Amino acid sequence: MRPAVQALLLALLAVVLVRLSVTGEHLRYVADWMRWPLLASAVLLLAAAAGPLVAAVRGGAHDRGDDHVHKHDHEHGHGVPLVTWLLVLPALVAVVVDPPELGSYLAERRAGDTTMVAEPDEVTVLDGSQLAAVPLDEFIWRAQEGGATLEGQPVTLTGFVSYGGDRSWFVTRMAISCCAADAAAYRVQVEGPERPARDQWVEVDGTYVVGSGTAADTAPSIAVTEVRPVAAPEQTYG
Amino acid sequence: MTTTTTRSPSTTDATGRRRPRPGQLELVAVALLVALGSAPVVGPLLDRPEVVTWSTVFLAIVVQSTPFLVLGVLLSAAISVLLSERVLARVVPKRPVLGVPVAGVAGLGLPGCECAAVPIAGSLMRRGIAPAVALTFLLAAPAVNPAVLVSTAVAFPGQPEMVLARFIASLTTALVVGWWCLSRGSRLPIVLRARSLQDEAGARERFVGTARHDFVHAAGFLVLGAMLAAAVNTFVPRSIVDTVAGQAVLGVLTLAAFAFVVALCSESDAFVAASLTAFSDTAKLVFLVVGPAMDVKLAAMEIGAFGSAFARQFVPVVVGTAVLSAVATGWWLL
Repeated sequence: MRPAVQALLLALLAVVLVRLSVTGEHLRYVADWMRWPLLASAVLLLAAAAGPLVAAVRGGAHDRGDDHVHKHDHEHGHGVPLVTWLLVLPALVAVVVDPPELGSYLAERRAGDTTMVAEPDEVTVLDGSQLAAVPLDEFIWRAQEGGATLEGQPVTLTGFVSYGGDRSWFVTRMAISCCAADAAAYRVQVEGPERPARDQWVEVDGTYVVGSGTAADTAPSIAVTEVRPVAAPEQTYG
Repeated sequence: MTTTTTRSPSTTDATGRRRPRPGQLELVAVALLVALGSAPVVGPLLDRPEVVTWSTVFLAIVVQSTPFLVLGVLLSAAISVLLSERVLARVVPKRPVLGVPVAGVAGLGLPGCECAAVPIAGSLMRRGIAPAVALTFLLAAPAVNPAVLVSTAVAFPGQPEMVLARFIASLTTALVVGWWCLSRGSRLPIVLRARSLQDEAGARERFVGTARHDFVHAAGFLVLGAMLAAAVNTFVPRSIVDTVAGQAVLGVLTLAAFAFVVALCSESDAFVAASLTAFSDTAKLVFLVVGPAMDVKLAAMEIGAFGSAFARQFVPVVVGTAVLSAVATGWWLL
């Protein structure tokens, strides 16, 4: 593989990383703190690609004999394996598929998983009567703690719609710790209204169904009085 | 750039054969233009949830690993250009038997993913470090560094023995495999890529050239590993894994295989392990010890860096050792 081609592959990958970190689309794939490391590594990759690319362009401007190519190949071309061509794939996937954040497809496939939720760093103050917006993971954690703190408390939950069997549906969020490969699905089953379209983001108002979701292998339920479609938040992972 | 060659020149490749060379730059450029142009047509065809989800996970693994790989090749280039053999010889004990534990403990100092460790290990070997010592570092660095231990502690609240067990079992794995490599000696068929830049160019050019070459070389295998891992991640339902959770032996073997194929990054695998609640703590420990030591992504990268003959021996030995040491540690501590 010619050095200029290697450099082009590096530059391609770098451009993908730049695009992701500049547009904020990196949030679909990795944790937010990765933004700056991504940008930094993209800059380094571009810097590494610059030399051979400039040389190739310059070489094209002059007469380029076999000698020139030969020397370069000898310098860099050693043993680059065929799989190096796969480096085009991330860029192709990013452009052609432009994959969005994880949604109902994976959440439904992961429906049988147990979801252990650790105690959140910040806990919402609940006074028992006022409608309170509670993060989905906190709701599930409170249910797993026995659910006593949720009894009679009107809450608003936000998440996207995923389906279960028997026309049931769930308010859902995916949670990632490092990247989308380690995603877990947080789900709360909705009792009441008809199910909206898959992956639609919704806010639901309702109250905890006492006794549901106290074990990690079943989702808690919420008896819902109102469902409002909302726009997806910038950070979709909870 | 696309007009640099009007005719495909023929060149001599590394083995000295003459073969015709197509205009690769033009080929890439045309392929990309076609891809870009056809995206509006092809995109909707690919707009199926399974394809899209695979793409998200695939891109996530590549994007997550790239900065760590960049860090790895930078360190590896620094080793091969800046560190003189004299300095290295002073830090690493002369007798490899002692060098193995030193390398294992040195793994504490590199808070990175496993992708970073592969080029570093190759670079150390090229610098005259005994392969056994470099491979010990390769196994220890992603498994016992502080970032991994902290994330394990966060994922298993109230179970500090899990952190300790992971540390001990992973370090044991690295040391045992290191000494095994030592005992194999020259019968270990490691094939290192030749570096041809060493003497010709200046230090800066050598540094950039080495880093670029290392990255290009490793990244292709990383992408291959990411493709496989994303497929397993997306299409193999976890419930299949869960069905064997009740059986002790089968549970351990299943989670070992699962760790190998999902290829999670070592800083996040603890969270996945914690969610596998149906399994015994020992099986979870096996998952945590096998994953950073060996997975499909690492195996692919090691084939690239050290040759497939080596990987055929190294990969099963590492997996076997990791399973045994995790089971022993789990039986003792958990």
